[in-house]
Amino acid sequence: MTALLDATGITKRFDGTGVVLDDVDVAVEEGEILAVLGPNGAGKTIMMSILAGSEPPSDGAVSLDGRPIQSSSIDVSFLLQNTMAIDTLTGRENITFYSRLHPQFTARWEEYAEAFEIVDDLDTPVGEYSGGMRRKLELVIALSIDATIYFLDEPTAALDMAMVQKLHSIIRSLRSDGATFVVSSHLPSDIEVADRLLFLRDGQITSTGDTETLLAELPSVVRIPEVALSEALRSNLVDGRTFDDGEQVRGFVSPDSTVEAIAEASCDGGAGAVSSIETVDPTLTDLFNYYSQSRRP
Amino acid sequence: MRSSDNITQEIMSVNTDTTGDRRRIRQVHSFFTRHLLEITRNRTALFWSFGFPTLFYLMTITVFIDLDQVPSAVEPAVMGIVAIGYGVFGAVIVCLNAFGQQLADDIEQRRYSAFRALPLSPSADFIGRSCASILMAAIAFCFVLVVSVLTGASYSLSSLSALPIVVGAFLLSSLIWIVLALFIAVIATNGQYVNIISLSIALISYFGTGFNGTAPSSFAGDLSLLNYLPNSLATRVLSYHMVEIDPEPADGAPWEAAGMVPPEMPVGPDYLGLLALYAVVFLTAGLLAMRYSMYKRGAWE
Repeated sequence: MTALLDATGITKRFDGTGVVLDDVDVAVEEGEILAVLGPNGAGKTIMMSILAGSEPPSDGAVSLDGRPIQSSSIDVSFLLQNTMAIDTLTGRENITFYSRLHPQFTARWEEYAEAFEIVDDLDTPVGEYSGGMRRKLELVIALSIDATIYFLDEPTAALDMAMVQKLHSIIRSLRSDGATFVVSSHLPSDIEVADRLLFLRDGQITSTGDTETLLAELPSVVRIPEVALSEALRSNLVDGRTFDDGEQVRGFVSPDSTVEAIAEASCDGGAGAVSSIETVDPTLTDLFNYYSQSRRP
Repeated sequence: MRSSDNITQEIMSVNTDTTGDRRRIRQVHSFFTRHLLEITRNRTALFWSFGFPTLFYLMTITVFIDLDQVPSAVEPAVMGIVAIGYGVFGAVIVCLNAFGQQLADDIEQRRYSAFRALPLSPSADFIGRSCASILMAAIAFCFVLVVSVLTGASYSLSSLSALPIVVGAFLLSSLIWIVLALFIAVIATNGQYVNIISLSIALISYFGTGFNGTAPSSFAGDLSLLNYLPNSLATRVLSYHMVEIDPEPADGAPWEAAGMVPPEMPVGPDYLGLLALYAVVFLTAGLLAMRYSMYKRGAWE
């Protein structure tokens, strides 16, 4: 099957910061929802900008339906975090402005303004909006474009969970009409909406696949009391890393170790907390932490 | 501003037509409207383009110029020339400061990263912003002229054919400042810096060229330069065609009596041609900068 979006050998170099994307290949099928996940600074925004045709790559090429992406902008809608809304204009004036810029802008904006509960604020200057309100307005604008493919950069940042679920519902609805999505995020909650996940770290892809497959490939997850942590114990964890989980921490059992070895290391450390170390079912947060922060490219 | 229904009706009625020209016109309209709204809400720019020139005009005719020393027959014309100088200053402020600040704001907010992913014509962006700036510049210019008429200044077109010359000279000179603002914004990429730089340039060009060429005696350089520098050339062309000077014989030749000569008044087509040449060069540079620098189009496409 031919990919709708095809990016090969994408590299981006900047004079000051060096290589921020290193030989990345991405293919997105028609009607697919791809989540690009990674910690802050992983290169997600620059990758989204290149895929959407906003930023030229230093090397590599991006095509949409066989044509260069930069000549396909009529089929693209791109939400780039905190760039679209204009402070001195009201929400309504912002919508009017963008509605005239894109010939595929639709009357869906009214439905979305209601869904995101910003109708009553449309006549207020955007400079008075909160971060979440700005994001909702930008989503209304980006989603109202009748595009073949949507690139949404951190669309759920600053949104509460109810709004995140509404956004996911809108994305699924547009996908059922044939739209394709590439959604970047550093929040595990966005995994729920995706058909496929792509993890980015230090400008390189660490893993890609559907949620079930990636969860199945996840090493065992252990929950450890914070007091039991020691260098010896950490050496049994992937990358020696742990992640906060209330008064405990979670970690991934290293391939050359076992839960028993970890418990033993805990005893050696003198913490006496063997009975508290347990294997737990992996969550989406574990999935995010492992592929975006523990696993090396 | 507009009701929800109006936006939707407009979308329904025009977005079905996606032909290039129609699309470009809508994009010009979009940038024009947005830019106009933003200028009218920028109090600092409004002060510098409307308040400052008007105040300085009033101070000039009451404090800086001893009108008793001006032959009474040419006094209304002299006041008109002073007002044209300040009016052009106000127009320059709109073109430099308001245009540049908004553009720098778009650059600083990384808005062009979003624009570049839209099917946007760089020329539509430039033309829309420019038209709004020129309209506001014309209003700022006329505002000072209206105030001057209330204080006794008089204007008279030298001939019917002078009207397109006046309009053309104003448009051309505005365009030059707009493109200069574009380059300042591209280099500075910060609204505050653009504000400082553009106001400095406007003030230096105004006072450094003998009040935009309306008071050659206060210009320290070679006087003939006043007919070649863009701001003073445009102002002197406007003065010549908008003001009628008819002094008493004892007061000497008309433009000498008003203190505008030497150098000679720029009346020939060669001066208009020079202004047009400036505008063509600046316009080309502006469109290229918009295309290559802001939209990163060109070899990459």
